[in-house]
Amino acid sequence: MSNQAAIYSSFDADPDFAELVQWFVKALPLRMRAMDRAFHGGDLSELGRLAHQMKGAAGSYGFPQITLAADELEHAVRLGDSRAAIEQRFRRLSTLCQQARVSEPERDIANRSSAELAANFLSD
Amino acid sequence: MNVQRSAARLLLVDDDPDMLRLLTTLIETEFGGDIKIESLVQAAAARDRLEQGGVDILLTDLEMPGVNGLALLRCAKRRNAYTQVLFITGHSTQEALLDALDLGATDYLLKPINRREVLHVIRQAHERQQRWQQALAGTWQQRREMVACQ
Repeated sequence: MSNQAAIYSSFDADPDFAELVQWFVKALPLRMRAMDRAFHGGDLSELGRLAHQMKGAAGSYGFPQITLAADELEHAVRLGDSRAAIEQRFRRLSTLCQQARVSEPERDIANRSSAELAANFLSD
Repeated sequence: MNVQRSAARLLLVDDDPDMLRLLTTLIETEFGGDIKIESLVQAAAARDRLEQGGVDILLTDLEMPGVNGLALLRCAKRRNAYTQVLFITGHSTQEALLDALDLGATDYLLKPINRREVLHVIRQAHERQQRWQQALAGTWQQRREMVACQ
């Protein structure tokens, strides 16, 4: 992914919250994996719930673009849109999550293992 | 009347761990030892905690799986009438918001959160809770003094 495609948290200049944003960004793939499971497993209710969660959290962490995409996905699910329409919004959200970055350079947390972060995310 | 101030006890409830982490850091950074925070990701556990009493401010998501925020509000108010209840919600029906008002909710915040707005609302709730606590402590003191004079 090029730097041009990256999207950055609006919190990136706030030292009190930099590490929190790093945790959030690092856990985004876990959220997307859960949404992917719900989508491909046909559990649209769960997909809608996870999209709703993402909508609230992403903007709170300084990623309004992700909130907007999650809102569109949640609406598509709630309105009972076609599978193709839901998939299109899901892919849009997934792309944005992959583009999310804390700031440059990312700090040491980026070097922590995914397993460690997953354990932290799931144990809360 | 001289009432000793103690740290307010705030219970934070949200089914998203990332929101709990963010709100906890935000409140701790701003209020330090003036507010003692407990955070719970499961609403059912929050209901059990509220039943034990001792919660001054409840900051909770309105819509969660299982037990919703309105049930927590009822529980909090039953246990302690001056508990300040603040809702935080991404999307709520008009009916849910009206119910929240009817049941005595102090305020509500929209997700995504605005950090300044969150702190402003919590500060107001904290001050209101302290006033109620002092007023009630004052009435108890007056009663004790009246009994002592008789």
